[in-house]
Amino acid sequence: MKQSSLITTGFCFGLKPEPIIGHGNFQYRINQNWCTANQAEFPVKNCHEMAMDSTGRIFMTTDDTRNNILIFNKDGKITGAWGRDYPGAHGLTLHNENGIEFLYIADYERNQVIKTTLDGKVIQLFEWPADSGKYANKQEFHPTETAIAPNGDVFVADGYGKDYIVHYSPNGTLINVFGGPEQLKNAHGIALDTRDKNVPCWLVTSRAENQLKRFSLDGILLETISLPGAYICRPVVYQEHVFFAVLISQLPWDSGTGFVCILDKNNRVISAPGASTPRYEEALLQPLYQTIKAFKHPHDVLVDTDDSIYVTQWNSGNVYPTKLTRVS
Amino acid sequence: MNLFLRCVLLFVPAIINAQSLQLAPPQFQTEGVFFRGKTQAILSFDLEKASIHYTFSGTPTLLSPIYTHPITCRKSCSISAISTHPDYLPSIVTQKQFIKITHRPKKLNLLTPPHNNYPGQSAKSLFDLKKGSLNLHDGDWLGFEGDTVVVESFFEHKIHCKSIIISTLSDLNAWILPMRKITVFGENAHGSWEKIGSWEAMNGASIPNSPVSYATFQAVELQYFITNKIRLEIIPFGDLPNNHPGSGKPAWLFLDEIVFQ
Repeated sequence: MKQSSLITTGFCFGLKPEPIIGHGNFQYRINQNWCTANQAEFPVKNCHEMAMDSTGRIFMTTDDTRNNILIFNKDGKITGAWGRDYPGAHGLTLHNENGIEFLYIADYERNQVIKTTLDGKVIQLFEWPADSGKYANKQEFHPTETAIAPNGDVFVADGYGKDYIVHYSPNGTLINVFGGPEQLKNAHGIALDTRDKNVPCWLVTSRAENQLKRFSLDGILLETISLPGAYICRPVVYQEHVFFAVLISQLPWDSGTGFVCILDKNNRVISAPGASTPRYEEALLQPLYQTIKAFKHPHDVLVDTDDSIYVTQWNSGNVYPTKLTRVS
Repeated sequence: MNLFLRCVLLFVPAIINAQSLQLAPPQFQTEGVFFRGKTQAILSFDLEKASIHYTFSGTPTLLSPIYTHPITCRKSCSISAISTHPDYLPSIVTQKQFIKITHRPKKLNLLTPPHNNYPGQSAKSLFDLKKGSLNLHDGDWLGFEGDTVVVESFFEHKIHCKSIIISTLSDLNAWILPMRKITVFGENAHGSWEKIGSWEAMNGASIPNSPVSYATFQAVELQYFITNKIRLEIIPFGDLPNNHPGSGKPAWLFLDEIVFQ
């Protein structure tokens, strides 16, 4: 399984064709100019996460408080912006509740998760788990991600705090905490994995360990998936695959060595756009590392219905998302 | 505007765009830095049609040798390498040092205790051939908060040690800075310490350019002297500079290996 370097489409008069990255059946054309908006009009600092609504609008969190939420169409045009009160706007999860879509914004600086309508009206706050016995005060809680269980319960990953997964009822009552520093190191992301419909589970990032961990819905650790070289942001389950942005492949945290990664249904890496060829020796993945500087610090991926991937980046020069168009 | 110029203006932007992506540098798969006897430098860069060019001196170019198999190092050396590809810009240079240990002490006495938070494996960490990582708690680093560090080494037989290399960490954001001065003494036939070498930072210690470097090596050349006891006095950076958030407080010193050559 080799990573293509370039395709020949458009190759003429000595011009180099467009770069293609990825491996096997998951190769992509890079478009770093998908969004050409004016930074003065729609400023961004760190671009954290994305979610798509039922009409195809793409919502994105940025920690620039002049417009914490930007809304893109699929052509990269910004069609809306709102939010000035989310200095740590990070995790973004969209959930359809009885036909109405809501956003869950995990704000690590406000120490809260905020549930809003798609146009920014605040519906509900999920506060720090004071009754859990795990936290001395609000300032220890720095949520980075939210996921919603099939029954509507809300699970919050405290990825910049104490690495617990906090389980709330839909109305915000604390039910449970699990994970924590003994099981997770930098629990940056969480996603509901229903690929096995008989055994739905949580996929949780243990970023500093380069691992994904499977937990039962009630918080029992089921499996550890080692992905050496992959400082995983959040897993995104799409059809039978898992996609995720890899912030870096080696320390330090600002090394600019990120890439994108795709797992198959057995949670084996089948493509790593921007990185070395995934190779397994005796069932162990050999460490991945960046080969092409297509990204600096990818922070999230959003997979479109046409299999394109939109990639946000942290600490990468205030860039809008990059689009990867699937070519194989 | 003539036809040639029109063509240039038309096609150059496309060429730049197509070749604007840069390669990442190749990877050194050899984890260790310190070795006895010989070691192998292993490089990798797993991208179709890519090559690795390397050199032992200066900056590698497309004319430098192409890496095809592990490089055997029989003496201390520094290898610099780049990755290249016909369709991408060459990578920046990556470099790794391999440091040969000629004399290994039988015992090291650490007369200055490390800070409780960074004890490493005490004196053992300083001659275990292990390079510390970016994880300061990996057990290979000893951390000192502003103290002058004194180490005494004992060898089984009398040796002629030509130089000493001290491996340190530099991370300005973590308040960790390089050394200011090193003085080396050998025990003479009368049982007294005799100065046999020293090193001092130019114009006092300077702030490193790179924000983080966990492979900072400082060599001290020694005069001819035969002994089986060597003493080092290592003076840290001193107070953090005025423009630093910790201004006025002592910089930390982190050591992970002392090499006798």
